[in-house]
Amino acid sequence: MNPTQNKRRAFRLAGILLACAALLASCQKKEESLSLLVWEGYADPAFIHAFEQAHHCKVSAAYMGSSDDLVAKLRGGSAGNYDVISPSSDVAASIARAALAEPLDLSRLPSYSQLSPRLRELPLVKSDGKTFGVPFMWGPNPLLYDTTVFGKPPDSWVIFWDPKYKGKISVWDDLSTLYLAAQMLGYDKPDPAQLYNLSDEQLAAVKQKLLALKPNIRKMWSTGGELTNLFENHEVVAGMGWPLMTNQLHQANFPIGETIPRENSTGWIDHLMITSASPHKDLAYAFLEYMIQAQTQKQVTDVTHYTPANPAAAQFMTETEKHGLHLDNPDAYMQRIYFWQDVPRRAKYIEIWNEVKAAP
Amino acid sequence: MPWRSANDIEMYSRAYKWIVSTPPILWVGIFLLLPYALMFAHSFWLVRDGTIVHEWNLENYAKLFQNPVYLEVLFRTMRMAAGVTLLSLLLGYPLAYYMSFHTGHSKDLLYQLVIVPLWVSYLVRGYAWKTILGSEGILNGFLEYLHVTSAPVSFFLYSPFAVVLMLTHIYTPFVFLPLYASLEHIPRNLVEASHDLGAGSRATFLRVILPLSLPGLLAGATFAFVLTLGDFLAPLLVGGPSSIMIANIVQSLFGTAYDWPLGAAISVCILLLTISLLVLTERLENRWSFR
Amino acid sequence: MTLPGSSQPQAAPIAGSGDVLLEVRNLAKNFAAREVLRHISLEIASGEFLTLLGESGSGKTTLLRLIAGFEQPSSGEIWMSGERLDTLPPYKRRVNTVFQSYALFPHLTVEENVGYGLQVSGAAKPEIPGRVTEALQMVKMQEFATSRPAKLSGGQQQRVALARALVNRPKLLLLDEPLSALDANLRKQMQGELKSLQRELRITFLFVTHDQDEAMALSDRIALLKDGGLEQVASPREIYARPATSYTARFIGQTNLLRAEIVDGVARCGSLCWNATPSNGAALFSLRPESIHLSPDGAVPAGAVRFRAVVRQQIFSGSSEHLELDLSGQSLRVRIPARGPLSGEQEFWFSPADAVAVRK
Repeated sequence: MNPTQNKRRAFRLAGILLACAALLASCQKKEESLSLLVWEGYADPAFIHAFEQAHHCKVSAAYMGSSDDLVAKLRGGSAGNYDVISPSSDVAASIARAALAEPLDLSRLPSYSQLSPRLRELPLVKSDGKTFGVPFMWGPNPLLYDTTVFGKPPDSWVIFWDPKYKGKISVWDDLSTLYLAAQMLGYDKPDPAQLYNLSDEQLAAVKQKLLALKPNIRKMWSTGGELTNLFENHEVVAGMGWPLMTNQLHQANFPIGETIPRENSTGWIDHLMITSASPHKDLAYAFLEYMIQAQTQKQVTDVTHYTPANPAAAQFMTETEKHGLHLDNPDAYMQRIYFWQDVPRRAKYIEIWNEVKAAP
Repeated sequence: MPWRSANDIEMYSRAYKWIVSTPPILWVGIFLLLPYALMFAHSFWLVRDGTIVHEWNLENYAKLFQNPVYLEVLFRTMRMAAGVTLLSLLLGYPLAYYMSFHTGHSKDLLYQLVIVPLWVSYLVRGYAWKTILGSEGILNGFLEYLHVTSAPVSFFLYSPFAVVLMLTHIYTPFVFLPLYASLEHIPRNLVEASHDLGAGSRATFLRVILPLSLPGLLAGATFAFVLTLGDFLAPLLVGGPSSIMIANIVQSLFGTAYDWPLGAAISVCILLLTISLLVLTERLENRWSFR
Repeated sequence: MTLPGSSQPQAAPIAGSGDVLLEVRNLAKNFAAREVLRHISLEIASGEFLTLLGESGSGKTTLLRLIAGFEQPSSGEIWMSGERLDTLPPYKRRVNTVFQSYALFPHLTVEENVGYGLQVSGAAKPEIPGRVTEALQMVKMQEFATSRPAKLSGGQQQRVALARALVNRPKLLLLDEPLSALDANLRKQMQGELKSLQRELRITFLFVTHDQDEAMALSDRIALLKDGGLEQVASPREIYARPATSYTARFIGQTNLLRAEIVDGVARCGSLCWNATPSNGAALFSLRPESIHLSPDGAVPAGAVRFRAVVRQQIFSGSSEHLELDLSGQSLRVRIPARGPLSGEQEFWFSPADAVAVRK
C-alpha cells in the first residue's frame, strides 16, 4: 500500500467519524431544553413539570449560592450556559447595565400588567427606557429560631451576640450578614439605603461587630438545605434564613419559628431575566410568562412561602394564607424590610466579609 | 505489495512518531500549560467596575503582602496541612508496616479495605463525618452514654479539628500507598541480614527499614501536604466559621468576588510553593533511593 | 556421642579440631503439609568446612535458615557449644550468614555495612573502625570503604558480604550458595580465597551449594541431602569412592550402576561375575567409569573381572577418552587415558574392589 492510498483511507475514516458525531448531535437536539440559574425553590417540580409538559421541553436548574455567585458565574463567561436567571434587587441593576441580560419585549408577557405596580415601577431593572427583568417574588431575611429554646419570638437580633448562645447561631455566608451588623450599629438610620453605601470607618466598625459575632457562630450556611440541616441536627438554635427554610422545616415537623425583630430585616425582590446569550429566547419568554401567571405564583408561594409579585395569586388562597404572606397589607410589611440595593463598593464589602471569615 | 522501500519505512516511522507524540503534547498544552499561562497572565491584570482590565501591574501581589489576611490564612493552611501530613503518617506508616511485614494470607483483604474508601465519593465521606462528629452524632452520643461528657462537645464538628480529621481520613490511603510500595520493595533478606548481624527488631526498623522506606514516606507526605494545601471542600463541609483555608479564599475570589486577578495571584503563589516543595522532595527522594 | 536415629548413614570421622561445635538433633521442618526436612541429625566440628549439597528442593537452604534462626523447626533441636540454639532469636546467635544475593544494605557504605554488626551489638565504639578495616583488608576491599554497594561488581559485593559476616567473629559462618551468582572464572578464584580464609581464621563454615564440583573442592566433609533427608555425610574422597546409595553415586561424579544377583558371595550381572560380600539376593553396584580399564594386549591383573564389549561411541577430551560400551545390551561408560581411536570389540577389565555395593 502506498502512502497516498493510506492517506485517502485516513480521510475516509475521519469523514465517517465526523458524520457519526453530527448524527449524534442532531439526535440530542430533538427536545429543546431550558436551563436556569436561580435561587433554591424556584425550580420545584411542583410547577416546572407542567411547563415542561406544555412546551415539550426539558428544564434543568442550577442553584445560586448568593448574588455574588450569580454575578461571578455570568461574568466568568458562563452566561451562555443559562437562559433564565433570578437576580435579586442587589445585583439586578448591574447585570442589566453590563448587558448580561436581554431587554424584554413586554408585549410578549401578557401577565406583566397584573404584577404589583409598586414593584413594576422600581427603577432597578430599567435602563435607557428598557426593562430587563420582571419582578417575581419578594421577601425578608428573617430570624429563624427553635421554638423549644425560645418560648416567644426573640424581639431583637441582639440575641445573635448573646454569649448564652455561644456556638449556637448560624448566619448566611453572604453580604446580608454584613448588612445585619451595620443595622445593629444603627447605620440604617435615618436612611436604610445607607446600609448599601457604608463608609470606610463604618465598614471597619462593622468588621469589629462581625468579629464579635464569630464565637457565637457554629457554621455559616451557604445553601438553604444546609441551614435546615443545622436546625434539624440541633447544631444551632437561631439563624438568619429565608421563609423557604421555615416552610421546609414546618413540613418536616420541626418546631421552627420565624420573626422580623424590632430592628427590621433586610430583604430582596427577585427578578426573572433572560440572558443576552440565551440560545432559547422564545422558550425563555414563555417561561417568564408562565412564572408570573397568578396560578404559578400561587404554586411557587406554596413551595417557598415568599410573597408573590402578582397580587392576583391571592384569588387561589385562603384568608390565612393571604395573611401569612402579608398580601392583606403588603405595604406595612414592606416597611419592615430593607430591600437589597445595588452596592457601589461591592468589592470592598466582599473584601471585608472575607477578612471576617479568614480571621482566626 | 511485498517490498517496502526504505523511504516508505521512514515515512511510516515519522507518521508513527507524530501520531504517538501528538496526544500527550496536546493534552499537556491544552489542559496544563495554557491554563497556567492564563492564570499567570491574570495575576498581572486588574478588575475595574466588574470587568477584568488587561493592564499589566503588580497590584495583586502587593495586596497579598499588604493585607495580612492572605498570608495568615496561607500559614494556617500550611499548619493544617502539616497536621494532616503528620497524622496520616502516624496512621499510614504502622498500617503499611504491619501489612507489609506481618500479614500473610489476609494481606490482599486488608489492602482492599484500605483502598475501598478511595472509591467512595469525597462528599459522602464528608457527610459521614458530620453524622459521626455532630452534636447529636455517634461520637457525642457514645461519650455521653459512657458519662465521659454530660453535654455535646462542640469542637468535634465545624472546627479546624474536624477539617484535619476528615482530610487525614481522606489522605491516609494516599500516604499509605507509596509507603506500602516502598516497604514491599525492601528485600526481605535485608531484614534477615540485620537480624543475623545481631540487630533486634527495633534496631532493624530504625537502621534498615525506616531509611529504606524514606522515599515512600516522602512521597506520601508530599501527597498529603500538597493535596491539603489545595483543598476547599473539607472546610466548607465540616469546617467552622474560622477554619477557612487558602483555597477557600481563592474560590471566593473567583466564585464570589469576581476578582480573578487577585485569585490568580494567590494561585500563582500556591503553585510556586507546591512546585518548590515537589522539587525539594524529588531531590531528597533521589538521594534516599539506592536502587 | 552417638547419633539418635539408627537409620542415619554412618558419619565419617569429623575433621577440624574434633570438638563438636554444632549439633543438629532430629530436626524436622514442615511448611503446611509439605515435609521439607525429615529428621536430620548432624554434627559439625569446630573449624570444619562442611558443605550441604543437594538439588534445589532438597532442603539444604531450609536447614541453613533453621540454624541461622530465620525459620523455626517443627521438631528437633539445635545445639551449639552445649547451648540450645533453636530457641534463640537470630540476633542472639553467634552465627553469621553470607546470603546468596549478598543482602548488602544499599543505603550504607561498604564500611558502614561491615561495621553494622559491631554497631548494633554494642561493640566498644573505638574498636569498631579498626576491626572494620581489618575485615576489609582480609577480603582486599579496603579501597572501596566509602563506596555504596550499588557501585560494586558482584564479586566485590561478595567480598563485602563476607567481611560483614566475619567481622563479628562468629563461631559458625553460614554461606548460602554465595558463589552461584558469579561467573565461572571469578567463582574458581573465590573458591580458593574462601578456602584459604577459612584455614587462616579457623572459623567453622557451613556451606550450601548445589554444585558438586564446588563441594568437592572446598569441603572437609559433604552432607548430601535428598528430598529433605540426609543421604550421606562423608569426606569428598570417601563419598566419591564409597557412595552409600545409588543416588549419591550418580550425584557425585559419573558412575555405572550394575544390577547384580548375588549367590553365595558371587555377584552376577549379565555375563559379568565377581566376588562380593553382600548377602544373597539382588544388589546394586556402582562402578566409576575410570575404574574400567582397557586391556589392549589382553593382559589383566590377577583377580580382575575381564570382559569384551563393543565401543559404540568415543569422545576425545584432551587428556582422556570417554567411551560408551555395549556389553550384550547393557551400556557402560568408561574413561581411559587418551589413546588413538578405537572400534569394534575390545577387551576391558575392572577390579572387584572398585564395584561398590550401594543401597537403592
